[in-house]
Amino acid sequence: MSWATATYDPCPIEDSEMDGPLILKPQVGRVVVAILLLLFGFLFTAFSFVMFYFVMLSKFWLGLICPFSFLLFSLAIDIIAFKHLLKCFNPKPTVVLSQRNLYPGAELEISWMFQGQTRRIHQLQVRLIGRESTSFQVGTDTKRFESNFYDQKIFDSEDPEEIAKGFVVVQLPSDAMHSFKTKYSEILWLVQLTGKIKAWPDLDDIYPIRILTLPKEELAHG
Amino acid sequence: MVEVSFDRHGLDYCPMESVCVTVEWSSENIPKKLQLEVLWQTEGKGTSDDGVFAIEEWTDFPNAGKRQWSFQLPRGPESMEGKHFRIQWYLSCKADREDKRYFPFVVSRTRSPIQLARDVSQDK
Repeated sequence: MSWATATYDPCPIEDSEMDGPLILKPQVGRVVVAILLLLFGFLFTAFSFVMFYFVMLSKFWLGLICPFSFLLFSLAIDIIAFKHLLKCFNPKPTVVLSQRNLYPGAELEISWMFQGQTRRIHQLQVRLIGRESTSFQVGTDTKRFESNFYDQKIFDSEDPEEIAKGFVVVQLPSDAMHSFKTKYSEILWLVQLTGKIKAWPDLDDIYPIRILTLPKEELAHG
Repeated sequence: MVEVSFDRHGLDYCPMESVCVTVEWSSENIPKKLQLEVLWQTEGKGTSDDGVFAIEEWTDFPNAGKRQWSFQLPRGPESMEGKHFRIQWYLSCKADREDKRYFPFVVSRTRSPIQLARDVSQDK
């Protein structure tokens, strides 16, 4: 008996017998997002200027509409990229789960500790999110469908001490669907930290967690 | 055509539970080769994914009769119904050159597919 899609994770089970605290890794690094957006924005801006140059050479003035709209679009990307660049300087949290092996119905502790100028965050929210996503591929086109089936605020505070270093105990729903990942479909569980910062882009970090299928001893056969 | 039946009428099983299927054939319809597969499949708006869990192949059959196959289900994936896709388990049966036939069943700790909420907005 073997799985046909072994490279994916349709049936998550324990990686090892050991069960201890787990430091979570962010879904996407802040720096990676900022660099990709800056690169994309730079390429678009450069392309717009090249188009401007050729339209000016041809002296077809009505043709200026095209590079002008491209330039506006690239400006919007540049603004978003700049915002993400500023986000890189936000305080960075280290998020730790009390246990590595999480099952539906389990109680777990999520703790965090910020590094950097933590006092800048005047409100911190932590959410537990369950997300369903699937994609449809035809040739080179991919259409993605995504929605949250679970979204619970588990922590909300304006206390600077609790924001800098804190924890929350949460119980996973007993009827929760376990994590599931194939080539086109996914059930994702996420811990989201959002922090409000005055006159600066807000902190918004997402950490995937892996909810396992129940072990044999937990299953009651009727 | 061969007949396939499960050991339980409700066709709802728990993960890790044992399943017994019975395949029957008549003396006029003795298959030469028969293949059974246990598999799950994602169905819905996205491109379908699947995973074959177990395969059983038979090539020797008495004149008329039946044969049983038992297997233990895995821990998952559990049957599920969401807004965009669902996970469905099947037993497939292919006898000789007949088309493959699919028999759906449920694998879930609640004995019914796990229902995901359609969409949840943030409780600000």
